[in-house]
Amino acid sequence: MIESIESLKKQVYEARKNSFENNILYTCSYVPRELLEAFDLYAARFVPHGTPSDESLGERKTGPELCSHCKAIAGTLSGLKENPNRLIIGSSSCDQMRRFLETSDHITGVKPLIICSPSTRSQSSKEHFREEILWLANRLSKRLDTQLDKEKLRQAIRVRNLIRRKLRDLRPQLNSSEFFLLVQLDLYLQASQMLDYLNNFKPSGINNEKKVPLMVAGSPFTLEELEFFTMIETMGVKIVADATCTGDRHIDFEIVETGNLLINLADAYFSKTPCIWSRPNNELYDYMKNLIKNNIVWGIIWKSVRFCDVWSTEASRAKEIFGLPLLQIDVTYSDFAAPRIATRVEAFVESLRMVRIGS
Amino acid sequence: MDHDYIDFLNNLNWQDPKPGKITYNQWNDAFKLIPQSIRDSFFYLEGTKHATSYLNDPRCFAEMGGDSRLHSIEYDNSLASIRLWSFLLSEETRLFRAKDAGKKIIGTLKDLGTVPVLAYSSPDVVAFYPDGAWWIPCIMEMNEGLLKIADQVGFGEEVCPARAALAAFIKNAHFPRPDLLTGAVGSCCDDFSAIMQRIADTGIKMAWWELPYRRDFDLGEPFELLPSGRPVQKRFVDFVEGEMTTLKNAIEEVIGYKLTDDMITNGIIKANRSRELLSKIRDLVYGSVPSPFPALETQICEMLIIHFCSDQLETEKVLTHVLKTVEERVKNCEGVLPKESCRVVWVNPVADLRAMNVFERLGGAIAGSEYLFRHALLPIRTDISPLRALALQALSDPMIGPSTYRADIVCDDAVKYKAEGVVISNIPGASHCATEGSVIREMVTKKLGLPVLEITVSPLTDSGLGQLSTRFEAFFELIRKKRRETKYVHSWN
Repeated sequence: MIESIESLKKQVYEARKNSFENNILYTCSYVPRELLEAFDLYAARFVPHGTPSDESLGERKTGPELCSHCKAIAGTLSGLKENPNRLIIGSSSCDQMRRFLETSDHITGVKPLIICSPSTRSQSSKEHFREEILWLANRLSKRLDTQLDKEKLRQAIRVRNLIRRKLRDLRPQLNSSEFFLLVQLDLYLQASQMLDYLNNFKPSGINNEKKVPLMVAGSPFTLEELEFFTMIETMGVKIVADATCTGDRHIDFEIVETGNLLINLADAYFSKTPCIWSRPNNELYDYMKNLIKNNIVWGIIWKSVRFCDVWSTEASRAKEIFGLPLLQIDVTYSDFAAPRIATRVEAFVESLRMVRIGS
Repeated sequence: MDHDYIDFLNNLNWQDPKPGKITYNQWNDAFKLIPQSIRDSFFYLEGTKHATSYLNDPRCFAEMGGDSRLHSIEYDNSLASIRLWSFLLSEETRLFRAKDAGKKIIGTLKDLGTVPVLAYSSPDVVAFYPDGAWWIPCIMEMNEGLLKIADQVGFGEEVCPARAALAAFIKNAHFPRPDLLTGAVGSCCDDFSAIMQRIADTGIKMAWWELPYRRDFDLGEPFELLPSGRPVQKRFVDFVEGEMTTLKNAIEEVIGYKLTDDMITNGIIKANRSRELLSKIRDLVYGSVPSPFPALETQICEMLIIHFCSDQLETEKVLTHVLKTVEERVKNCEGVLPKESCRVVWVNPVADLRAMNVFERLGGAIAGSEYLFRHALLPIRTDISPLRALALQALSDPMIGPSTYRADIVCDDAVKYKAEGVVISNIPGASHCATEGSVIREMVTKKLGLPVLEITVSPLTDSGLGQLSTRFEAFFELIRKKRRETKYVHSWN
């Protein structure tokens, strides 16, 4: 079935609303969702509402110097119905997120589970991460008073691998908003529902020729930032590569489905393209270079939310490394589609066109 | 304490004036009274042909060295303090001399107290913290241009002043190019993590290592005890011990020979000697009334411990001298601050050193501290494998786990030193400051009922001095009011 963007958008909003009322929410792409699903848990990625009100409420709960993303998480959590069975699972990712999660029980009434996601990429760090995943599995077992079922884990891995493969296959045919929304949908839907959806999904087939091909990178995108994507599409842009964890990095990995599944799961999550806070973060840059090369990217939009040091400080470095025009935008959830951003993006896109015409 | 060295200090035949604070000009005058023989007694790089006396005319630092902030600061008037300041301010020169003397220079980024102990196990190494460059903009009153350089490469005001370290590398100034850098990442503040990534781009050999997130311990998991007495998961210790091995290998590659367990254990023993001296200094300074030594100089003593100010042997001597001075003052019931000063635990180092002077001038006295590196003050075990002992040390870092751990440390100090309040001095742009203040405040208020003041101190506070002063005054007034209300009686003697 061919979905209009409006219809797809409505479904994603609905899925998000339903999933946030769930018991299990995880805040980071390093948390292996398949593990949670193997315990029959309906687990959704908790990407917050990207709205000024949620950010502002979050700031009142936490303080002004936290990044916009963490504030929005705080604000969104505050707005959820009280649920004593809710469990938030996060990872030590960046310092701000880790510290915010540690204090989030003030908002949720429940202490979160935080796994250590190592920044370094050594064999010993990989082994440490494996032990963290084992620890998480044990904690879930105790909480639910049930053992991890290996067959359910296999099934969860198989289905999520299938979903990722389908999304990768569809990718070249999708316009920017479609890919954005499908990934967002995947964050919130249960695996079987998502698979069914994809099996029936047909891209709109909107003509992407003569659009300026850009890559975006930076802080995770919230659903509300669809407005940003549709805005830049009207400027004649196609986002051909999305290096955020709510973009191509969400789908660009596979989990081995034979052998020791828990270890395979941990290894796949450890070894997939790391986030910007990994040290050194060359692997992420290599991944982005491949995205640029394979998609013939003309320019990059480097987006960080306010006070996100890990992304914002890398912009000038990224420009040097990629040797491409790069537009850095630093936004809150009240201004990601504001006229000042629109003007800057428009000027950037225009300059890219002029350069191409000139050459 | 090294009694031979105490005898040496006694034989200097120097009489300190009555304890008090002096201005920069008075420091100049005091310096002129120090006989040449004493000035020549204090030197670094002992045992090398580059041994250099460092007790210099303060104008060497302030005027020739560009450390113009020294004009605005107040100092303790003892010889020990003058020596301490000279030792600190001569570090840049010392590092260059150490390089000339053939020492391998290792820049240990972030971990604040562990890797230098390992590094100094070799006599051919000098380890230092490039992070310490964060004070250069203050000391040189922005004339050195480091923050501007940092800004130009994308590290603006939203990043903490430690970005000056990155600029120092780019400018290739303020310390010699290290032979090796070690970078502690993982549970590391975002700003400095980003800074380290950029520093790695300068092409200096970099050994990254993981300081893992130290989650609260779960009952049922195998555990070991940290030097602080708190439990930590055994597998975390195993992991970090492995990281220490990686670091050891990296250092060995630079020095060209193996570091044996015996060498590292001896390194730990040396470090423990300095830590013991510091522990005594803290107990006396924070626990005595009147306060026998100013906050700023005591903070510098604490800072020396993290990398021994690029000369481990001389650090021990400097601390011995300070301890001797403090002991004498306590014995004579002498101090540098009024007895009525409000006793406060201070959390986080200040970006502008002058803020500590202002704090004391308005009626405060430090009674406890947590300057981000409490683990560097704790003795390191010598009864287990040295690398495992260092792993336990590293895992005691108050910054790598929940902020409640740090809040506990603050409360412990407040109880130990009978503090009447807590000041949390936030560092502008530092990621940890966004959330931990409220955690510390909540615990201090709940557990101890003490008032908490949270301030932000930028690298130069001159324009905000009025505001800062008002906040201190109000805070002290609150403490004094509580005193009157609770009729809290201090034992002054």
